[in-house]
Order: sequence, then C-alpha cells, then structure tokens
Amino acid sequence: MSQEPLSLEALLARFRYRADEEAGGLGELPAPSVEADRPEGVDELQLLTFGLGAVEYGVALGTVTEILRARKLTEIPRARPPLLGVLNLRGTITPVYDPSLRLGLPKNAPPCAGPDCPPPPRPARILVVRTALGPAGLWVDRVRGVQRVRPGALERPRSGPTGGVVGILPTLEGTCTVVDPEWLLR
Amino acid sequence: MSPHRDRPPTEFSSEAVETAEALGRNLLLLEKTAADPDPEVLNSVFRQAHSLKGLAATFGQTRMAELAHAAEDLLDRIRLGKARVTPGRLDLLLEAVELFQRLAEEPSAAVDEARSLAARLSSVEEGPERMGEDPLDRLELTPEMRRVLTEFEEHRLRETLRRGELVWAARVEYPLETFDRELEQLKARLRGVGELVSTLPGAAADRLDVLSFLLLLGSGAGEPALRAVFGGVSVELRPVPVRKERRPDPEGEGPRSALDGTGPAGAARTLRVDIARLDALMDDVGELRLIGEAIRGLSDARELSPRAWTVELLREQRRLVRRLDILQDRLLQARMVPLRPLFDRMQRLVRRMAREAGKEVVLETSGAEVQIDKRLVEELSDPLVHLVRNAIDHGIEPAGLREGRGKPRTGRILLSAEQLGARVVLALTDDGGGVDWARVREVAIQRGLLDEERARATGERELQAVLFSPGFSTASSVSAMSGRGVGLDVVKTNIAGLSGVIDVESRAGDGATFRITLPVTLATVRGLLVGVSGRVYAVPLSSVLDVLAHDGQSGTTADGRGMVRVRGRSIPVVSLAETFGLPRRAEGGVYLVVVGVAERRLGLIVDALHGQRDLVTQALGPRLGLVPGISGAAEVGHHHTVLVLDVGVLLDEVLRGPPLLVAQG
Repeated sequence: MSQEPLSLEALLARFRYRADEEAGGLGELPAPSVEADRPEGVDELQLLTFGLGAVEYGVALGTVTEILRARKLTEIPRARPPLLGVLNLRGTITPVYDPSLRLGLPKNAPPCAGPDCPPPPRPARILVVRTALGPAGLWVDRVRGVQRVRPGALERPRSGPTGGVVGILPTLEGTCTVVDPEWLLR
Repeated sequence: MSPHRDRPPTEFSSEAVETAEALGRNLLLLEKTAADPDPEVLNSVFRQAHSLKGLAATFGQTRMAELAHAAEDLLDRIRLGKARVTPGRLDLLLEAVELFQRLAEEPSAAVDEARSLAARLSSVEEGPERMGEDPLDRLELTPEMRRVLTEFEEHRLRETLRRGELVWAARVEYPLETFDRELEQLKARLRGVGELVSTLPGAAADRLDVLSFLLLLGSGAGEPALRAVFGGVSVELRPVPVRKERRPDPEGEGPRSALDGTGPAGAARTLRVDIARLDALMDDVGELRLIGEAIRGLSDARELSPRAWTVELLREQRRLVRRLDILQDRLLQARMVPLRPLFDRMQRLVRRMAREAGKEVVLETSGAEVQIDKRLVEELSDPLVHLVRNAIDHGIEPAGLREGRGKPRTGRILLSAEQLGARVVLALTDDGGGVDWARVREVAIQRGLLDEERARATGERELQAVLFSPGFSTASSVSAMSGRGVGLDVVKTNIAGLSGVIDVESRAGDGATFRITLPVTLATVRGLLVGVSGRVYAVPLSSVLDVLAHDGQSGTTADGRGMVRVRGRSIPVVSLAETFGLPRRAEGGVYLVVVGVAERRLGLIVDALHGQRDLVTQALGPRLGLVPGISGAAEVGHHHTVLVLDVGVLLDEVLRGPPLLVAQG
C-alpha cells in the first residue's frame, strides 16, 4: 500500500482500534432482544453508554438501531445548530445532530460537513436512533459499550437540564447521565 | 432490517389491489344508475367481489376473505333483486374497497375495522320477500332448462315477466372459433331491444366446428325486431309460453365467472408491463451481446494496425453507448403507468369526505390516461389527498352558502392532468371561496412568520410562500379530516422531493387552482453539478436554460439586486455562496447558470461546473421537512451525497426576499 516504512504501532492501528473493540459487534445488533437476554425475575435496563467531551451519557439500547463510524456529512445550507448535516443511510437521507447543545455542554462536535472540515476523529461515532419522524443520527465522541442496570440503580438528577434525563447512574469513574434520545432531538 | 413477516406475496397484493380498484370504479358507475342498475355492471361488481374472496382465501388472507364474503353476499342480494342499491349501502361497499386495498398491502392493518365492516355489511336487512307466487314457475321451460339457469338468470327472467315483456327462446349456431365474439356482438345489438338473459350451449350440431346455443331473451319488441338483431344468421325464434299452474323450484347454481370488463390498472408495489415492451428490452440485450462479441473479436484482431484498432474500438464503444441509451429509454417507458387508478381513488375519497363534511361535491377528472412514472404515482397520492381534503374542507362552501352566493348547490372539483413535453401538469380546481389572503396575512402574523409591516407589504403571490410554510394552517376548526397537524408545507415538501413545483392561483369568491408540475419520469433526473465554495450541488437540468462564463460584472437595480444582460434580456443574478451563507473561497472560475421556471429567470453565480449526471433523487425526509432552496438529495459516487437545488424556491427567494424559515433541529 504505502511506500513509507511504518512503525508496528501505526501498522496495528490500521487493523485494530481500541474503541472499536469496546463497541464491538454493536453495528451488527440492529434489534437487541432485551426479553431473551434478561435473567429471570430481574427487570434489567440495557444502556448504550457514550462520551461527549469528558462527560458520560447513556441511552436505552433499544432506541439505537445502528452505530456508524463518524464520516463527513453533507452540509445543509443555512442549517442552524444542532443540525450538523445529513448522510445517506442506504437510500434514506438521515439528518445528524450534535447532542451537546441540548445537554448544555459547550459546542462539542468538530465541524464535520463541508469541504473544509478535517476527517472526523477516529473514536467519533454516529448513533442512529429510531424516532417518530424517521431515523436521526447523534454525533458522539466515543462509544463506551453496553451496560445492564437495574432501574433502581438510577438516581434522580440533582441539577442541570432535567427534561429528558431519565436518571443518573453512578459509575466507577463518576456518573453516567441516562437521557431520552427523542428529547435530545426535540 | 428484518423482512415483514406478515406481508403477503406481491402477486397477491397487486392483483387484489387491481381487483379492488376495478370494483370501486364499477360501484361508482352503479351509483349513477342506482334507480335502475345495469345488470351487467351489477354482475361484474359481484364477480369482482367474488374473485377477491377467492383470491384472499387462496393466499390465506382470512380477514380480507371474510370482508369480501360479506360484500359479495350483499352484492348478490342486490343482483338478485332482494336488496336495492341505496347510498348507505354503496357507502359500506366503497368503504370495503378502501379496506381491501389497505389489507392487500398490510394484512395486519385495520383488523377491527374489517371485522366491524363485515358485520355491518352482513346486517343489511333483506328487501321485501318475493311475492308468494313465483312468476317463473308459470313459464313453459323444461325442467332440464330450469335446472341449469343460475339464480341471477332466473331473477332477470322474473324481471322480464314483471315488466310485462315476453321471454323468447332462440336457437342459433355459431362457429367454434368465433362464438364468444358473436355472442358479445349480439348482446351489443340487443341493447334497447331486449336483454340476453341466458346462453345455454346445446349438444345439438352434428358438426364439430360449430356450437349450437339455446338463448333466452327478454324483450318487449316483436319478432321482426328480434330477428333483425340476429342479422343474417339463421335462427329458430319462438316466445316461451306462460302457463297457468306452477312448477316446483329447481336449485340455483353458483355464479360463473366470465367477463370482467375492466382495463388493467394497479397501484401496488408490482408493475405489469406490456409484453411487447419486454420483448423490445430483450432485443436490446441481444444487441448488447453482439457488441460484446465484437469487442471480444477485437482483442484477437492482431492483423489490425494500432490506429485501425483504436478506430474499431471507438466505433464499438459508440454503438454500446447508443444501445444503452435506448435501453434506458425503454426501461423508463416500462415504468410508466396511467394516472387513472389514482384518479379513481380520489373519486371515492371525494365522495366520502364530502359526505363527512356534510357538503355536496362532485369530482370531475380529465387526462386520467396520462402516463407517468410508477413511483411518481405512488408518491403523488398523499399530496393529492391532502389537496382534495383542503378543497372540500376549506374551499367548497356549504350548500346553503353557495346558493346565497348564486352558485349551484353542488360544489365542483376538477382534477386534470396534461402532459407538456417532459413534464406533467396536474391541476386541482375547486369552485369554492378561494384562498382568503387577508386571513393568511393574519395567521402569518400570529404565528410569527411575518411581521405586520412586511405582511402588509406582501402581495398575493408572495403570500404563497407563507401558505406553503411549515406550521401554517388556516383551519380554524379541527375536523376529523384536516387539522391532523399536516399542512400544505408537507404537500410542498413531497412535491419538491419529486423534483416538482406547486403553486396556487386563487380567484376570490370563485375558487382556487393548485397546480403541480412534475417531471414525467422520476427514475433519473438529469442534473448539472455545480461547485460553490468547494461544495457540490445539483441543478435539475430541466430548469437550466443557459450556462455562461461570467465576467463578474453585473449592474444593480434600484433595490440593490444584481442584474445582468443575457441574450438581450435583463435577469437578476445572485451568488449561490452568498445566498447559502457559505465562506468565500478564491478558487475556480465564475460561471453563470441561468435557471428558469415559467417566465421567471434567475442567474446563479457558481465557481465550478462538474458536468451532468443522471441522479436518483431522494426526499430529505419528514424530520428535516422543508429546507429552503433544496428539494432533495442524490448520491453521486461512493458515499458522496449532493443536494439538489429547488429552483422554484430560489427564484421565489431572490425575487421576493429572504426565506421565511431556515432548517433547524
């Protein structure tokens, strides 16, 4: 392929990427069957956790239909945030949004539409969620993985935007805010 | 993506939809002659319900089969004179037609509706019982003949007797190859003279190539008139005598299925293609194979000089391209279907919605034979339904009010289609009150779409943009039909997604015309790819009039708009980069793409031309809705999506002012 000698590290990076492994196989899980996986007698919630900047978030896994590696989007002229652009998902034009704004975070997603944007950072992903108005994409900095939690483990939010926040999940590193994707897109 | 588990095979869906459509068409025909229904129409309606039942049962679609059974039952009673045709019954039957079509495409849809409708159909009470005495029993027919008569034929014979006419028996012979045509012709010639009730093929002739028929005719005309109908054919004709005493009832026979005289139609996901068109496609493929052979032969042609070889190769390449163009044209042709099924659906819809709105409305159609791309027909349905709904809800006045205004009580909607070159113009005209522009202004201010000052300054044509913008609806009352949260903006978005344009022309107090202009074919839209600040957009070639190198010089008009003279005509120009708020980049040349819709012209300044492409355009989808200046998107090459410019909107915008709304999340 390339004539330049590459370090072993760089070579490996072409084949393997840590965040990919963490999010492994999710792309092939279009409709997780929560029912079948559930241990008997316990009401479990499956969360897909992701990061925006330094903050961790989660959405119910069932709402996510697909996880795409972030790619350059087609820019919509005169679009206003949080709309970042559109991508063609097997024939369906899918708008992609930046959830940070809604979550009260500083503008997070790098420009990713138009000719002047750099290639998206490698860990960045687009979560495709199912909504009443068709599919929509959420641009996230990285995907963590799937976490099973008991609904009782979620705490009520203490501060910040509360409208679409389902609950706060304490984690080893801090907290993970579980949100409703429909609300993120509203 | 998992496939629909419940989806029936497509051949079922398409045939069921077609049959249901034909059924609906005939029911409407029946409505016009409700007082004295044409037995032939009654029969084909009945047969269509019957075959729908059979079809549904074959494919295990029990819900549809049950509903069809209930409809068939009612129709049978009507056919046999046991029940009359009433508006209420027609309503039920037309409702069933709608349900058939929905069930054909989605068997799990409307389960409860189907069940309740079947129950309602079955509960239609019997008409008055037959008189105690059956007049048929007095007719001098042999028991063998009585046995082979169908219940329907018996009914028609009874009707003949009731009218005081005679039943005639005629014995004729027709050649085996042509008998069906002869009988059809006979039936046609009998019109106005009498009725052909029954055709019993007799086991008579000693010749193998001739069929003998015993015909039963009902007629009030005399023997000479009847003989004349048979033309030159020799016929044994005698009236069937009527006796005094009665005979026991023989058993009736189930209906036979024969003629279902309705043309091909269809709006399901499958497409019927004329076999001749497929043959032509096959020929093209054969031709392509020959070219393939020729190119292979070239690879062996060592005796040719490199130059001659290149010439040969280029010639084959040209042949290939030419043939591919023909193939593409033929494929596009094969996708064309007439608008009739769509118009028929509107016909039923108008009837139902007018009833629901308590208004008197008739729909007239013209140009149903105009053909457009199959996918366009499908995608046109929703916008048309919406416009029709709009016309009935907001356009046509209640009968009382109409009389007060000196109009006929019954409102009139005209749905017309006309092909103009590569475009089809669909117009929906109502003779209602027209668009209330004052009210449009008022609502626009209320909704914050316009400020008061600007609202006062804008004229009717400018207000159109408001009328078609999201969130705008003048519906002051929320009825079951409209007020579902969808407005004309959805119509506009849908039409734009089909590379079409919609506008409205209103005559105050006299009605309104919504006009939709569409390309005839959607399969591919030819687009000119232009570069603007490093972005690429597609301009539908159908609206590109001229492409010029631009010197960057342009005059300005009094209101500060750029103007340039092109071929002796002053046209406004606008920089696409500026319009879209894109950063300026100092690269490429400067070109002027002159676009036009109707008489309006606009020059778009772009900085690169990337050639023409055939584009398959996609709508932006409901979440984005209306994006000013963009009608859809198309994929060009791998993972590269370009936006298609909405020339109509850009023209509006430049000629009328900035857009009212901007895409947002």
